[in-house]
Amino acid sequence: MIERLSLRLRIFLFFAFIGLGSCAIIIAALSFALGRIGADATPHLVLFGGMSCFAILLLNGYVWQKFDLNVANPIDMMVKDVRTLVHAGAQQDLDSETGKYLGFLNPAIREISQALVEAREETEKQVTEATALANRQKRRLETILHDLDQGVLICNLENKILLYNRKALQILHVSGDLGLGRTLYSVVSAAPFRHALDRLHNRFEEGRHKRHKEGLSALIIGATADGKHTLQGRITLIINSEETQATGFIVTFEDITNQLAENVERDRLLHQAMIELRHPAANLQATAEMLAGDFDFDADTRKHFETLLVRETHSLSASIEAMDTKSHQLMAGAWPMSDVYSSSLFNCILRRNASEDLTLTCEFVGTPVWLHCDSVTIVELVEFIMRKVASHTGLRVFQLSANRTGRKIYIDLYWHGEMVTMSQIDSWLDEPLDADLGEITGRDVLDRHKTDFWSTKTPDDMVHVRLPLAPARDHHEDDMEIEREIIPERLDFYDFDLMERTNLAEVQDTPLRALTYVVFDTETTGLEPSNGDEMISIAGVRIVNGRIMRGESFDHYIHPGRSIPAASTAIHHITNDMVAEAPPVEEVLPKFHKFVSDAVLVAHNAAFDMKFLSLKEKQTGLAFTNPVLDTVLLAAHLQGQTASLTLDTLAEQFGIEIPPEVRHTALGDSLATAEVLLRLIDLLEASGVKTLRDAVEVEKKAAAIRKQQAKY
Amino acid sequence: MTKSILVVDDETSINFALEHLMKAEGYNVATAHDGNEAIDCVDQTHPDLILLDVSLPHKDGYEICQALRANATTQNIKIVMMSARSRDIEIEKGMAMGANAYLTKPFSLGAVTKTVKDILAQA
Repeated sequence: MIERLSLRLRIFLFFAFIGLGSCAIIIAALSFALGRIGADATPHLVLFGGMSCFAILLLNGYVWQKFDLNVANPIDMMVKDVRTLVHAGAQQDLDSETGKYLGFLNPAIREISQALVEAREETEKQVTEATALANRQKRRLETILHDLDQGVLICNLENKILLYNRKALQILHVSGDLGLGRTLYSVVSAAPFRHALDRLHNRFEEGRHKRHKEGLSALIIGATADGKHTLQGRITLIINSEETQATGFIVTFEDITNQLAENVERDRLLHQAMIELRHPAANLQATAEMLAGDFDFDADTRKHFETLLVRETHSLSASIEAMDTKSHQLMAGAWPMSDVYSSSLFNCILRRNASEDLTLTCEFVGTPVWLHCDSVTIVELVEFIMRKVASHTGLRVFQLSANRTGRKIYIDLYWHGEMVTMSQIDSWLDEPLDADLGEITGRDVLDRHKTDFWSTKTPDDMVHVRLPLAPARDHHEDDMEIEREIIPERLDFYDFDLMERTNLAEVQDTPLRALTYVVFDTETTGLEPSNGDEMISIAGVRIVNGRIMRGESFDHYIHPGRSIPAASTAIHHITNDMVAEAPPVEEVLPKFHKFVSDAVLVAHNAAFDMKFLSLKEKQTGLAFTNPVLDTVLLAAHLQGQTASLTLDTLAEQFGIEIPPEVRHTALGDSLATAEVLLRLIDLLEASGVKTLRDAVEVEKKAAAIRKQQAKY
Repeated sequence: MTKSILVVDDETSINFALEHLMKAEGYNVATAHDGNEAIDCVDQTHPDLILLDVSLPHKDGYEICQALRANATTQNIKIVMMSARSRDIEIEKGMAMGANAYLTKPFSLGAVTKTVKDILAQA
């Protein structure tokens, strides 16, 4: 019982006990004396006793106050500082004035703290070095996944997504908020995937995968969750190293919607062609046979047959012309291709050439452009032709350019010197390109791309061979800009630790560190949601397995349907103009609801933000019933109710930097709160608060105390 | 002076038809049925215009066209390419090789006559 009281309270009780005990002894002694001396001494003894007790209590109180000020309180403060240092990792110096009457205790603790900081730095250095290698390998994997032209999803056995690549987002038509830990079936139609998984589990459990030609893999034809896009791919079980248990599965897929539509259209066109050609062909055959036959026609009848012959011939030509036009539209994109930047393509050509005996110099001219092709075979073809031209002409210096004219991208290889003829080029195009590509010839590559290749002289007397290709399918602003966007984001697209989790429904007893959180913040027109104040911005970041997923943030302005007071704008710098084009709350909250999914909601002073959300329930038809944690209440539990618990104070205490330009933006404050939450989880675990249930309990107590305090 | 035309096509029926059509239009006409024969014929007859099929045995129409344009004595001969290859890339390639016009098969005889007349009128 007594161990649960704070140190200061226990010392107070100790002094109180001494004071009251002393008074009791004096009273007992005087009572005994009264019996011996007689009733006459009563006034003297009462006076003596009263003065003695008063003096003892006064002295006792004075000594306690000094003891509390110089011993108990400094010890308490030092303990808090040391715990923050040990568990939250903040490297703040202990105050040298604290506990100056405690002899060597303060210097000793400061020395220990310094040693701890140094030891921690040394450990961190070693960990950094050790993880650098792993990170390089991780980046290689990320690059491979990123550049794959297929969508990739890795899921655990609860169908929760642990990894996805950018192509998966594109194919599934998800706008960047896919969310790790979300179920696979929220993005694809469940039935075909469930069926394929059942089959694979059966195959694995019965050991048939060892002799099955597809092992632990199966072909899958499915659709996106909205049924608008047809997917084709493979699903493969992942098993543990002992091969005793399945731990998850990987899905690779592509969108075959257009391909299917083209196949259907091709069949339809072929069928229609047969019908349309048969009519004039039949008419022509009948007419021609009549004319060529041994019939005795008069001049008018013969003339009539000849007219028919001409008419049917024209009809046949017109049908062929019409079908020809339609078939050209279908021919594009029959071979799998992707968008590629011409400068990347040219660099690949140079790298490819560097591995050959005949190394050439090649200058890139003109502005790079995006094009659509099978880059592997195009690189092989251009490099092959360049080498052939070099061997043929003896030249070693070339220029490469790509430029767009109309709906075509022209790859041009230029040189000063001897012309190569079409017959020469045709003979090169019939040779196999590279042993690694099998028997593929240049002509095959051209056929796949539905294009051709030719050589001409330019007006400035250079020779060039020209290869027309298709422009990019997607809109690409600028190559470098895209790289900037992708590199920081792609790091957070996976979390393999989720593989170890088996039952996400039991969140109450899930360790705090293992929970999925959405830490969010709102900016508003004012502080009174019940009196017409509205949200003008909402942002959130996801924390999965103790990692802030910076690539998966939510950040939207909201049109408040009213003006923003100048006093509010002064804090968050959001003006009426900035939200003028923003969607209303009815559009933004459903997106946020989807982003949050089944995560635990966290905010700094959550009651305020939750109030805004709950007031919109009727309007949006969406209730946020997720568990909620409040960083103010969690910090109050750890640091006491009297400490300053503002976001700025906590951030400073934990060594978290909030750039001034993002402070008081919904996203900036969400990120800062997320960092604070992670530090608080460290401290909570050290104080025995391990699960969500524990955290909610201590929050309730802290809230009750704050409510009591608010009364006074 | 009567203009001369060389008709080059390995399909005898269309070669026959075009030969008679051009004769009927008042031109002097020679015919060839493959790439090598076409080159020999050009050397011998120096035609003003060639109706040149693209798909020919031995040397194709693109190759013949490029060869004629590279030779100072033949570079001014008018060339009308004819082909069942109707993709825009193939037409563009034909024009890049130096053709004055490109007719896709099937075509009407009227279109051939008009194209020949127009091109010879430009000379």
